[in-house]
Amino acid sequence: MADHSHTESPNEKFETPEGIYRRGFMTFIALGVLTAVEFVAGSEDFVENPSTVLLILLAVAKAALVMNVFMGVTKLWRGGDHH
Amino acid sequence: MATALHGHDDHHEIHNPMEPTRQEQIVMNRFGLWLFCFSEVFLFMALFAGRFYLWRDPDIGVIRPELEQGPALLFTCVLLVSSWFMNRAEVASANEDWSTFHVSMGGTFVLGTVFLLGVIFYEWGLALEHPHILPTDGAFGAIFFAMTGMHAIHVVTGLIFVAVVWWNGYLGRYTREDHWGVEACAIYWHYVDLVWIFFYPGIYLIGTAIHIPGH
Repeated sequence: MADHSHTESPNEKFETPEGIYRRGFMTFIALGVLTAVEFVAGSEDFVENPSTVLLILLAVAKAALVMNVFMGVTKLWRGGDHH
Repeated sequence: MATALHGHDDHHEIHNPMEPTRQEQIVMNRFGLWLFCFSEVFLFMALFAGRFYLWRDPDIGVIRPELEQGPALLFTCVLLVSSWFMNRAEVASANEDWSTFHVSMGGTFVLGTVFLLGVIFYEWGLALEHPHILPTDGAFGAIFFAMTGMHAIHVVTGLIFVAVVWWNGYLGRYTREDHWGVEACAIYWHYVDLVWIFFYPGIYLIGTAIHIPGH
């Protein structure tokens, strides 16, 4: 009988550990790029009056990445463990 | 909570059908942790909204105190790297790659500590020295120290969580099948990062910089 403590998600069997590590690294790079864009968009050295809407949108995009990839929010309704 | 921190090592016990399985427990634990994070959103949103209400000038619009932006970017990057290390630690525990787990947990702890000390000693020091704002100096000081201070408290609790989970990993209390303690720690640590994702532009980037004369 299968172990009840671990439910395999539909995608899990197709994901190797290397692939999951790579996904985390690519997310980290994307967050770094968005942070750099954010800094340029809000820095006194580049912009006199930064756009509040643009900076909030960049923060929302970063938050979406963190929640989806790092925090695994989809596990709430999908269950299991994508790692 | 004890289960969350210590993992689970009784997989081979006979399961009582009246009790939830370990997998069902983890689903409930996960839901409870997300509810906790959601409840904290109200606290942080209040501070974030307060910033837009209090840091506003009738003529200029949204303003902020003139703070050093470079160091804040550096510490933001430090927290970002720590989040990546935390993600690696979680993946490593799920694959029983313990050497990567220990290195990654260590990286998370060290970088989290650097961020905390950077905010408390460097950022607060700069704020007290250069624009010379104190927590008692009206809206600028109150919001700046409330937002960074409340976040710093959560970093402290996150560091304690990381240290406990790291130690439990060292004791071999997590397995490929059951590493809920690591997952919970990762969710909390990324949540702390998530809050800073909004606080960083809210404090340091959004609005027209206002020079505050020294006292």
